[in-house]
Amino acid sequence: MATNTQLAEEYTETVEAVMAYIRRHIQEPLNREVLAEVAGFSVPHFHRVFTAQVGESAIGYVRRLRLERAARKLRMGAIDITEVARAAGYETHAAFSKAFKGQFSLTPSEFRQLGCSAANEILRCGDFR
Amino acid sequence: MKIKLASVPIDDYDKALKFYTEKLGFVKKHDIPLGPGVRWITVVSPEEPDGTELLLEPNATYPAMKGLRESLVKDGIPYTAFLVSDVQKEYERLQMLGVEFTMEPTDMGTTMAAIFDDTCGNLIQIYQVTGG
Repeated sequence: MATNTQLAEEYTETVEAVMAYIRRHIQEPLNREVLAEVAGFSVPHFHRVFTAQVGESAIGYVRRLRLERAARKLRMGAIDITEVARAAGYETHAAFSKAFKGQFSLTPSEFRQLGCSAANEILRCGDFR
Repeated sequence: MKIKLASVPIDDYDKALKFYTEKLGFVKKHDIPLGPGVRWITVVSPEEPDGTELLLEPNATYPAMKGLRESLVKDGIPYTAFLVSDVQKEYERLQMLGVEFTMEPTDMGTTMAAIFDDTCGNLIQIYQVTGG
């Protein structure tokens, strides 16, 4: 019989594998069904395990990762915010701006005006690549 | 004065050599033993076999370098950059080989750029000049 420690370690490995999958497939449609299948769990079980391990839902993690990557593009000098928005999975500039502001408390245009150091300070609040 | 040598910090010669040759497609130029466990390994672009050499420099564990590399990766900043003729094409080729990108091809105005993880602790940018 697996001990609680063994189970926790297995869950950690599974969640890390799912997070790696998310990073590799971030530009593809990622929903709970797809990610639960990667984990080999049912959707409700996956939701419980991922949220307990990471502190946020898998879909929330995907959204945050996409927004952080979008912010890094803006910091690096991406010129077309609409293109950045589309790559992050947003159909419109407005929807992207709203989500971006919800995450970073700045609009994409305001964020782009920041110097590199200030932008990095904001991005350092995130803990993923 | 000429620039003939650049370097990337690595901590495992064989792992780095494998990535930079088998994935990126560079060619080994020198692999010279310098003493116990120490080698001088450089790679070059097959497009410029006599061009600038890239030294796979085993200084990744030097404390200051370790800190710098970790900060650069955390901030998503590439350690160095390589020129390509078509970023999108190179992105697709490397993705097929399992290379993990932290930034897909993005229009930066006068360049198109993408950033990947070299598996040796560095983020590397590839860029294509698209305008003046």
